[in-house]
Amino acid sequence: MRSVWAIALISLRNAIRSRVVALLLTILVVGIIAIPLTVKSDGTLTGYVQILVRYTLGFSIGILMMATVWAGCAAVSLEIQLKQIHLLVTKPVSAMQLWLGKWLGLVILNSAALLVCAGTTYGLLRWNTRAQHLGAADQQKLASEIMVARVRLAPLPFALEERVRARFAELAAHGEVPTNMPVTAVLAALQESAQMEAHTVAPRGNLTWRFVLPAALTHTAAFQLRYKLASSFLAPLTMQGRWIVGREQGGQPYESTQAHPSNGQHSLTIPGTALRGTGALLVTYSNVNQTPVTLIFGPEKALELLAPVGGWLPNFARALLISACLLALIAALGVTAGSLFSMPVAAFVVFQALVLISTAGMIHSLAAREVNFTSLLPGHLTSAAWLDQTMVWFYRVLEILVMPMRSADPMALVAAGEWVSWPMVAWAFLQQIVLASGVLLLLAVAALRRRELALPAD
Amino acid sequence: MSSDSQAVIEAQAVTKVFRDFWRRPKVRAVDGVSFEVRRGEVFGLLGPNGSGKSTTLKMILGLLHPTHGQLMVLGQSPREVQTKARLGYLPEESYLYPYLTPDETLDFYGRLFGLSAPERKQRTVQLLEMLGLQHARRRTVGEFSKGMARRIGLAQALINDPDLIVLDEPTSGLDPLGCRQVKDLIVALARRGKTILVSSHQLADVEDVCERIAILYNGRIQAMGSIPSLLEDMHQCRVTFPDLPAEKMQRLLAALRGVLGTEPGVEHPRRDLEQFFLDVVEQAQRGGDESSGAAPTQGVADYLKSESAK
Ligand SMILES: Nc1ncnc2c1ncn2[C@@H]1O[C@H](COP(=O)(O)OP(=O)(O)OP(=O)(O)O)[C@@H](O)[C@H]1O
Ligand SMILES: [Mg+2]
Repeated sequence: MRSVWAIALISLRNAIRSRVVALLLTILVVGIIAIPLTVKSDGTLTGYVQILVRYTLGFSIGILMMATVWAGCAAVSLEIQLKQIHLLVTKPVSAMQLWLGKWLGLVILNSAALLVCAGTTYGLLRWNTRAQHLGAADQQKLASEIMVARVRLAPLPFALEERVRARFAELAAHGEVPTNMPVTAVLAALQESAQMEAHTVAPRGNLTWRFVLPAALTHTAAFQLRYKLASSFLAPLTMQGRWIVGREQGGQPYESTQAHPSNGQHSLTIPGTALRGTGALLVTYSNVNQTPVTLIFGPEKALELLAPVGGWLPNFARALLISACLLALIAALGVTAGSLFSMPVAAFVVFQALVLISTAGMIHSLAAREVNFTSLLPGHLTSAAWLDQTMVWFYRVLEILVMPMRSADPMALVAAGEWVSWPMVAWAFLQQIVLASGVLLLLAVAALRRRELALPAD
Repeated sequence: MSSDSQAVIEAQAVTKVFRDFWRRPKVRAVDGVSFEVRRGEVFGLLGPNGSGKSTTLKMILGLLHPTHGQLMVLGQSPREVQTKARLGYLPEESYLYPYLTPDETLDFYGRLFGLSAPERKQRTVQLLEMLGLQHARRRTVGEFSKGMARRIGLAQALINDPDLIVLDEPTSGLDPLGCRQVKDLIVALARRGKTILVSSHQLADVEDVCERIAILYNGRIQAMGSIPSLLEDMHQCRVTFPDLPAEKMQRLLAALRGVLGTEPGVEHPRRDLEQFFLDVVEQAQRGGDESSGAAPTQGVADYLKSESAK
């Protein structure tokens, strides 16, 4: 462990003395101050916080990632190229200590840079949203919707299997199951229409959702219900609807009648008293419109509940920890690439890997076999099921490989005032540092043990 | 560590073939080399440029892997990490971190050996004093002259008081004073039971310090043995005495001619240039000239002198 520290500290000292660190920090801080000045915001407070926390800080973290790729790749490969490694590995230093030392140096450097970025961002945010700067409405919004950490809860899904199965049986009984598409596709279509039906409220009808509340949410201040609504009318129309929100047992349900234009997203603030009682939280919407009109919620994010569970600053701190984990993983990628390849090649490999990861969503859909590969091929390869199968497996493996980096952008959550929980931090740590970086470490150790370090990499 | 065989380094038919990107053999740098270096011995590896000296040393240090053959260092494979704890290495060029000062450099390498902080400090001070770089301890080694950097390289090789010291051309880049000092150091270390392997083309240096040598050419050992056994001309003899007045000399030569039956050779012995240079510098130093380079010093660091238990 002493050797690991020694190597980490020497790398840091080198980085500081060669003025790389000063240059990097200058770029980062100037960027954080300059970008919000050049980006046109929509003028709202929410927009400003988005630009500052999500995009500007996100951009700085992006720059930090690039710098980390470069520095990580250089850490070992440059040492080999400049032959300084001759002195290092003729000391009792194992390959693992060497890797860990180089990685730890980068992690410390990154953490310091991240802290500087975060401090600058927070300072700017506080300064530009100081009380005398904002109107009363904005101050209220800032306190209740932006500078908070809120959980976003989705209701329990409606049980639709029964309905889908019944409908399918009905079709089959009448011999109406389409034969020109696979059964799974028929079922998916039925599922979709059932979903639509379930979110429809007929005139005078009503619809109830159930929420299971996490423990942290039993005593809370006011919370919000956010929903998307459309009417069966084509013309714009003001909707009348009554919400009833309360627990299954005990408590005093909250009632409110809302009138607002259909087609759009709306939110309703509900006092915390509605949470008193036990059991699931029931949310009922009654269609009490004068004109008989059918309403549809959704289709996506039909209804969700946003409730404050903590302060903004601790939330920001947790998001920074998640970003630090990602940076540590990128450092690990770099150090390992630098242990395997010489300099420009190593950086190229890591950038390729990052591109792969940023397209992870597509890989996911390919792995889920939503694409028919053979249909993409020229000619008529009708019976190439094996090819399909192979490609699916290929993408499944790829998906597992890129999974550690596919976490949600924590800064986007913080900017939207959404909760970044400790389990999310723990998950990022486990996945990105313990698992992924651990595997990279083993890979590098195996390579370094086999390599002749007096030779440049092929 | 006293194994019954006293060999510290054992090489058996070691061959190194450098390959190109396609794994095709390119250079046979070392070709079937066998030798052993015994405990407490100073062993010299000689040879022209490109004869495979550095390659052999790098294999002994585990920096390169032999293509064929067996290599044991301190009773273990050179690739074992623990072997390195008892090893000191000066590479052919000084591969130091340019942004560190001598103090920081030596402290860093000392830490890798797990030395305690006071020990590192003490050894650093002694080594820098021994190598005449005390006054430059706060400058970064990146701005050092070649010889100064070389001295730091030597210091880092000795920081752990190693049992086996591998020096690749230790005197290259050093001034004659430095050379003399390095040679004295080698002799002093050997006297303490350390094993030393040096490579060099400075034949005079090798002759001064090495007990046994091997001469490499084209990757093969062409000659090996102790210096006297290789160099002594058993057919000639030299006698030295103080200079005599002409008339006494005539009598001596006449007597010799009578015994030998042939004409003996007579000449004044010459001081070698090294000794002459050392005298000149010493005088200048006594005159009190300040030096910004390596200061002329003498002696060996205390911790390297102390009788170790082993
Ligand atoms: N990394 C390498 N790749 C290919 N060939 C190499 C490599 N290193 C050394 N060689 C070759 O191996 C041979 C021996 O080189 P080596 O460095 O051992 O010589 P040397 O005896 O130390 O020479 P010098 O006196 O110049 O230091 C040379 O022909 C050299 O070109
Ligand atoms: Mg050499």
